[in-house]
Amino acid sequence: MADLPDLETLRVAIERIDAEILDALRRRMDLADDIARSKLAAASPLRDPRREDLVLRKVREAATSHGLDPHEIERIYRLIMDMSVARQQSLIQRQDTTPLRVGYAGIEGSYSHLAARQRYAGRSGGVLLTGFESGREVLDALRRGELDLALLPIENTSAGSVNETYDLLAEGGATLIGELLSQVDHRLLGLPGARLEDIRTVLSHPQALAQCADFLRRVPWIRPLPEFDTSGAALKVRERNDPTVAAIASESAAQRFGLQVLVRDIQPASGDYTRFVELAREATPVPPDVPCKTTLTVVLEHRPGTLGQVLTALAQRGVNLAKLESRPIPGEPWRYRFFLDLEGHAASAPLIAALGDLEPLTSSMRVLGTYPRAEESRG
Amino acid sequence: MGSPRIAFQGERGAYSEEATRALFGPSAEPVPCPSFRAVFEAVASGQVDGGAVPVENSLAGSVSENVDLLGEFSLPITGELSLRIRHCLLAPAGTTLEGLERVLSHPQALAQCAGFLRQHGITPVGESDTAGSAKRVAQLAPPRTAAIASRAAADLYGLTVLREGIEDAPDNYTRFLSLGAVPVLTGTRIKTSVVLTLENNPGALHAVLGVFASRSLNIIRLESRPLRRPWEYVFCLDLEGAREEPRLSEALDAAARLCRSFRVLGSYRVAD
Repeated sequence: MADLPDLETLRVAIERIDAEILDALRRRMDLADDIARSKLAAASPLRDPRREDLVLRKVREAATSHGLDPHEIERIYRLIMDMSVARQQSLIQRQDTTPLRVGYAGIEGSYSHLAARQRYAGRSGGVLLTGFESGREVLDALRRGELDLALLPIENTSAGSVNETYDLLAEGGATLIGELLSQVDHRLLGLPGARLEDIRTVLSHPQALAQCADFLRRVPWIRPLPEFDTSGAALKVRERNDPTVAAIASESAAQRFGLQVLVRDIQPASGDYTRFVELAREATPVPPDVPCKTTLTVVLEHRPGTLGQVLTALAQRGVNLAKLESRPIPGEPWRYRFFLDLEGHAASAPLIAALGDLEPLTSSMRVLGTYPRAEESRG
Repeated sequence: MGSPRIAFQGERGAYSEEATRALFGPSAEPVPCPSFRAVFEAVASGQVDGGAVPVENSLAGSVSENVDLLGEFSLPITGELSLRIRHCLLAPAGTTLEGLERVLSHPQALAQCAGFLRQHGITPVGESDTAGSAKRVAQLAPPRTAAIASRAAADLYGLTVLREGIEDAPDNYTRFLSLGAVPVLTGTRIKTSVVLTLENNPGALHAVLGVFASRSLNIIRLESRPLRRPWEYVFCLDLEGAREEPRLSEALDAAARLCRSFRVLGSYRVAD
């Protein structure tokens, strides 16, 4: 026992290490400031729980290889990550201009996140993006005032309308203030080294599976399974670490989760676009010289022929119908709520006249918003 | 026809199998197919006498895939039936509701029972069909796992019905169409279904629908589906009446002249 260092020496050594740990923590927190600034500029979400899970997993693995208890280390890292997020939040609150708070459904790298980045990145004052689990949660946060804007997918060129969004629009509490067209670039992603002929299961959002229906028919040995979102499906492929499982998601999801693109062209050649709607609590005035659309929702009087009469009234007033969608009314089988996208401003003479004609044909009618028409980028 | 062979999508015990019997009677021989497309292909190639496919649910809305396939295959529509859907929670004998952690089913069935699942803290797991998930639960017996499917699936796969009618809204109906073979239906209402595409000019839709509206013909349903070219659509139109009636037949001719493509898929009886 003679060669054991005395207690004082050991305490000095520990103090030195503590100073190193604190210094490393300070440097880590300084980086958090830079991360907050770059997230605001690049329109990336401040907090992404699934990404944090991935980080924690790496930490647990590193802890094990260092001979440390992975669960104890995870507890410490959860605290460090909370500190980092709190630091980023306080930096954002100190900004001179308030960043725009935008919500969407999906995790980082999902098509909704990519669309939000396309629209808001580089905005002066920055953008604070938050990904939610579902469109319903996004809209609830908007209604509670926790968001300035919500961005939700409404229609895709190959899979058609997004029913959930229409049903949410029917509930009210939000106004349509814009629309956005975003190109969708699906890829078949697998683990590095995976081969198409070995894939047995493909995970993705049901809409993405529908958009790639032609491709999936050519590979009948692959069973499609629905997932909550595309990017989440890619993450699952990484986590399962099974070379027979693939995902349909974006190239950016492949990079984020270290997956390989197994097949590039899995979509119709004409290109695939998703139309997103932008929602706010209050309407934004549209200048008179901007081409715009007005969306309204109606429930028709319960008598035969009303749908035809509505369409005739619009035609007689010279109002062009850009899209007509119907959704079932819960509890009233085979009765529908209609959504009409009309060309023109709700305050223009033809629309005012047409809405007047529609009134007696409907049991409820609501204008959901007038908003600038998105540029048609025909593929 | 003695005992017509009728294709349906899904495993044995699917709601679609129930629909084939409701449409064609107990003597019909239901033929399971792995996909909706396979049902259409089996009818088109004559491997079976007819098919039954869901096109709409009163809570979830259209079954888009089948609306697309109706347009693609142009098979004759021969009848319509609304089937009341009662979802059951099925598990191997001995399983209790309290012990459940997961439930497998088709995403639409899971969505229709979302309130029940939340209330009992059960995690929904998506599967490709309802009866198939019952079969999986019966064969693999994963612990603390149930399926949502029909009572018929429980009987077929030897599962226990833990709870019947777990759907959140009671008015849960699915509308099925029969294809090919003609079912014997007693209803008095007749519908005519049309699929059409329009010339790409504004107002084209107005012009076509105006043909029917101006003749006081009732448009029961109008649905649009994407045409795989950005923002162009196939329209599916359900009209009241039979195509042989002079007023409707004349309107169909007039409407066809305004369209790029126009096909009448059938005039058929609606089951009471």
